[in-house]
Amino acid sequence: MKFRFSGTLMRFVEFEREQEFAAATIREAIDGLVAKHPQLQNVLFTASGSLRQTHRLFLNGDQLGNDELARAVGEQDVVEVLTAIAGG
Amino acid sequence: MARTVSFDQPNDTCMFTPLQLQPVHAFRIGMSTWARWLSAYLASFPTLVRDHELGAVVIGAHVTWLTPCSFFDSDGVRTEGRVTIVNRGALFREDFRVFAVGGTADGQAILDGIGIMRPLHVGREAGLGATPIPVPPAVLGKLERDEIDDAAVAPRPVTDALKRVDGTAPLAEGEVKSFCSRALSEVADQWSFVEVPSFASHGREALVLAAGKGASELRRGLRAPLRSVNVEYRKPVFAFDEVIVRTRAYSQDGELWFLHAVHTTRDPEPRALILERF
Repeated sequence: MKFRFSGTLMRFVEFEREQEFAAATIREAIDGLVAKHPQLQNVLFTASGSLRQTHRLFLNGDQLGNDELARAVGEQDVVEVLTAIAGG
Repeated sequence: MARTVSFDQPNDTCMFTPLQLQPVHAFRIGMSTWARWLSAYLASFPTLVRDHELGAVVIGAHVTWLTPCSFFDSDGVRTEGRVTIVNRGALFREDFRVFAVGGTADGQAILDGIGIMRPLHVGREAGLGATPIPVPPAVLGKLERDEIDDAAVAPRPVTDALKRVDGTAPLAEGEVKSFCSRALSEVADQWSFVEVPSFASHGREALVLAAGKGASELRRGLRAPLRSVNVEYRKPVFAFDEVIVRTRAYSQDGELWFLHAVHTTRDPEPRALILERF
C-alpha cells in the first residue's frame, strides 16, 4: 500500500510525497513507515501509540479511527496522512 | 485602557505597486503588529508557542485603503495597533492603522486593517500540529478590562458579499492554477497568511487580461487602486500543494468586485474566500 503526505509532514519523509510498503494491515505499514522515518513516531503518535488529534488518516478517502489500524490493505490502497491544522 | 504598539518603517520600492501600498505588504504590517503586541504585553511569539504551547491561526484579514498614497508621497509609514478579545473569549482581534510619515502625505491615515485570530494549543511535537482552543484564562488574566469585548463579533465581509451577489450574473469568471511554494509558506509549512492576497491578484489579473479590449469595466481591476481586500481563511493550504483560484467579477453598487475561492487539487472545499473591491 501507499502512504501519501503533504505540507508540514513532507520534511519528515525526505520530501517524497508517496511512500510504498508491502504490508498486510495498516498498522504493519505504519510500523514500516516509522522504522524508515523514526521522527514520524513522535509527530504522528502520542506516547501511548494513539494517532494525535492534530493528524488524520484517510484510507482511499475515508477517515480512519484509531481502532481501525488493524484493517487489511492491499497493493492498490492509499492512506493519506493529513495535518488538520498547524500552529504558526 | 487598550494598550497599543507603534512602529515606523522607511519606504522601499518593494512595499508598493504603482498605485498604493501592496496588499501583501499591508498584511505583513498586520502580522508584525500582532507579533509586536504579543511581545510587548504577553510574550514573544516563539516563547508563546514553545513555552506556553499557544499559537494562533489567522481566520480573517481585512484591509481598507483610506486615502491614495504612493511610494513618492511619503518617506515612510507608521503603524499603530491594538488587540482585543472578541466573540465571547473565542478570538483575538487586532486593529491597526497605517499613517504616512514625511513627504506630501505626512500624517495622513493610509489604511485600516483588522486581523482575526483563533487561539490554538500547539503540541510539542516537531510538526507543530495544533488544535483550536478558547483564549486561555492565563492570557485573559493579563489583559486590561477594555481589551475584552464580549459583545463584539468578528466581521465576515466575504461571506456577506457572497450573499449579496447570490443569483447575480458575474461580469466574467475564470480559473488559474498556482502552487504554494515554501517561499509563500510559514514556519509550519502551511501558507503564510500574509501571502494569500497574491493568489487573488493572480486570479484577477489573469481574468482581466484574458477578457481583452472589450472589457473596459473589468480593466478597472488593473488601473485603479484597491479600495479593500478581505480574506476569510477556512483551512490551511500546505507547502507544495497545487492551488486553483476561481475568480468571479461583479459590478456591485458602482464598484467592481472580484470574489475568489482558493482551492487545492486535493478536495473541493475552498481553503480561503477573498473579496477585492475597486
